[in-house]
Amino acid sequence: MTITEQEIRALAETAKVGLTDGEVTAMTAYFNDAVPFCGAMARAAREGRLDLDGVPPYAPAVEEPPAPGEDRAVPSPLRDELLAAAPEARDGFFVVPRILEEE
Amino acid sequence: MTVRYVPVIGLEIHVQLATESKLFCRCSADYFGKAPNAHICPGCMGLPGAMPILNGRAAELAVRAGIALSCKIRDRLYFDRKHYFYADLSKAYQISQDGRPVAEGGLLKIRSDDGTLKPVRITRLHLEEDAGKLVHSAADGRLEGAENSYADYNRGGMALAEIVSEPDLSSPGEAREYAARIRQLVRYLAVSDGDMEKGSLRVDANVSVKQVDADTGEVLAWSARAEVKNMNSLRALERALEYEIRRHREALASGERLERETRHWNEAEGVT
Amino acid sequence: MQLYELSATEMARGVRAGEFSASEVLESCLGRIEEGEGALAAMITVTAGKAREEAALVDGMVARGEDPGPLAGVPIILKDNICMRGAPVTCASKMLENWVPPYDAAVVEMAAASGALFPGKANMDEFAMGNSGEFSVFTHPSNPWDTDRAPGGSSGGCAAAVAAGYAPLALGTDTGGSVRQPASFCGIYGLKPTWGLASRRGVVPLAPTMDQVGPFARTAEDLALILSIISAPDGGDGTCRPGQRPDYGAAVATPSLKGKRVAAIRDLEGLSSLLDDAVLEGLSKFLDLCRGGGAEIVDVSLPVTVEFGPPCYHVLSRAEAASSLARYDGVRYGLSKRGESLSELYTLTRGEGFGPESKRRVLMGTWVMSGANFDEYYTAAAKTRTLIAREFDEAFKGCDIIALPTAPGPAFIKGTQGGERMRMANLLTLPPNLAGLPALSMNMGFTGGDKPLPVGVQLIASRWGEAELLNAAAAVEKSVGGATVASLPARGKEGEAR
Repeated sequence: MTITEQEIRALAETAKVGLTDGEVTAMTAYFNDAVPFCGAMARAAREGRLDLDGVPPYAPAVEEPPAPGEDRAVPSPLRDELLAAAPEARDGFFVVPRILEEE
Repeated sequence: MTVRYVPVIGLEIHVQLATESKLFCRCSADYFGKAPNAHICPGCMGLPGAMPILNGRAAELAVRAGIALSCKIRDRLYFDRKHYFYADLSKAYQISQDGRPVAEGGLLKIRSDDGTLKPVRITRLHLEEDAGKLVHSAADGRLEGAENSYADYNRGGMALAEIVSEPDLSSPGEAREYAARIRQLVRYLAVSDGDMEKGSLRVDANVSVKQVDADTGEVLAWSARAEVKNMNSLRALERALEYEIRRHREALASGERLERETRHWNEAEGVT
Repeated sequence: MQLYELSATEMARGVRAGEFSASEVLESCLGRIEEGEGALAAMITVTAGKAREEAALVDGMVARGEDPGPLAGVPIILKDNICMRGAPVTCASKMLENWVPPYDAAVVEMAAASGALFPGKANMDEFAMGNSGEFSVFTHPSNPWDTDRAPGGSSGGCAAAVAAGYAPLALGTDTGGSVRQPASFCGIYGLKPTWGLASRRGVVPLAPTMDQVGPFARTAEDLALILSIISAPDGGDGTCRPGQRPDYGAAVATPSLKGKRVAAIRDLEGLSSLLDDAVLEGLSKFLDLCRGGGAEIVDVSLPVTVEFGPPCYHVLSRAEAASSLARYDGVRYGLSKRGESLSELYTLTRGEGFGPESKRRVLMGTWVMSGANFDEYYTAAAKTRTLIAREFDEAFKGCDIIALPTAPGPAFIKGTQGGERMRMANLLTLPPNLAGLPALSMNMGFTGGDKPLPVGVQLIASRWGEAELLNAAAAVEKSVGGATVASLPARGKEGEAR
């Protein structure tokens, strides 16, 4: 399987990561090198060298589930600090480029 | 040959849980009508390093509703991240229960159009976070200008239970009846205030219409399923479904193919 | 003997006893930072003013006869992905270059409450992804034992700082070896705790099912000291285990290897071509010392771990990184590049804000999670991870500790890593992250030649077995000694601390 520059561009659009033409070329080379490596497990399973049948996907072991938090509203003292950190804020809102309805 | 048209409707109802604080942080859940971003913290704003702490009360209310709907209740809670980029979503993912919902496989009996009792199967009930709100201009003329939209995260992270039905409803009246029963149930159990106008109970409808040979009962054709949103009263739900069903019948009758799509009810114009 | 050369235990003892002040300790360490930074670039931000205020508070307490706590006056360097109020947490990325978090990480709160001082934030690979420090978008840190070489990564700045005497302790993060590998490159101790032992609240996430905060130190005693502070339960992290921790101090006070079963991994023999002789000799030396101390040397087999650990880690760590890094979108904080549309704002911000390795990982993570790739890559890796965890469970029925090299070799020359070599570089450190196990790296001496380089050995224990690791490390340290402070290279003309 070969991954094309076109597929990398589409992937970058999905992940919302801007890439220059040079980056697209380098990324394509990385994918074509790394993807076969990443496929080692499914491949070995098909070849019968790794038995994944009936094996559950790993879940981190949490023996004692955490006690749920209490439902008690606390004031938000960091509101002003959070708004101050915004790249652009106005009248208490975070500003983004105009979104057309149902975009 | 006589042809019959049978609507097939399933509802997804988002119920805002009657908690004091949000689902994974302790910001106030009393957001309605508050100043923009008055109820935000590092948690619901997705700041790196802030960690989710589940609201135990929200889980309790979801389980209560699940029991009332005769669902099987899972003995542990599992959460997943649902990723999408949008300005109302502060972490670029919504914490939801995709694979393993808290409650599954329930039943709610409703009064059908002919007066008989009809069981409606409940697929699942799961917990999830709400998204924030985007505004495009303020009523008093502030925030004017064509180039910006504005994000308010007060609602972001609010505790929701999503109740999904099987497509067992076959008329706008039944859909309305089902939604009214859900609303009554969550109110009675103090799970939610169920206020549709304030958006604390939101109904999305999945609707398609099947064309059936009235004599043999053979299904001749299906219209592509449409998801209809933005109905903020039971009356609006009924009207939107009437409109949508008519649209599907006409398409089936004329042989036009519909696309599978999401449509929004426009209350003023009475169209989707 | 300068104050900066003291261990953390000695510093705290001296400050609490009034033999010297916290301010004197701090000035000695700040002087060392000043002297070393030109050559090492181990720091991103030096917070001398803040640390001086903290030292004055500690000294005030001592003067009033109050006890500042077990870390009284001990400077601790923080990796720059651990949040501390009042200083940026850059993650060595343009994305967060100017973002100041409005909170302290839990581990910072805990250490501060014990009297610690925080003189600065250490250099690292961008968002903790890398093994040399060279993915920092700022300067590239150097190894104090040979400045042409990398200090390792991603917590390379922390390791270089502790080795060079900037501070006796540092806190890094370890997702696939990012504490242990730089510790081995710089000749000091590094510990990755069991997943769930130390709170991750206030630590910028990379791969949440693998990340742990881990300490660096020059002695086993110091490692136990800092671990006993930062491993406190924390209700603010739902994955942090509640309940009492073992007495780590006791584990290093009277260490003994008698009757311990220390295992080597049989399957690594097939990989000896990837491993430098020096690290294999380090391992032999460690096993000999264990045997001499009364331990029984056994062996274990971890075939799935050795063959499939690297691809399993590659897939899962990228999937989790793509999710963790999705939130940097230019709307609420951090870098923002305004575009014509929302989509353009995202694409421009993330295109400019992420360096090359972050982009690779975000894209690969997105790819393995999407559509038909999900089962072929993500699910296969997640199932393999279960097998790896089970393989360790089985192995620990027959041993108390597994010993192996920390890295395939000693520190490499900067700019020489890439491709296959880089992909396999964390082969030896990633298994404990996949299985959620504690692991420690300690120095086992130096290579020969005119610029001797440190050689590390790694110990892995079963879950919550930190005391087991500390006991073994302290026992072996009796023979090999603690780490020494590296001497700084002559000051370069161009060298300026950032």
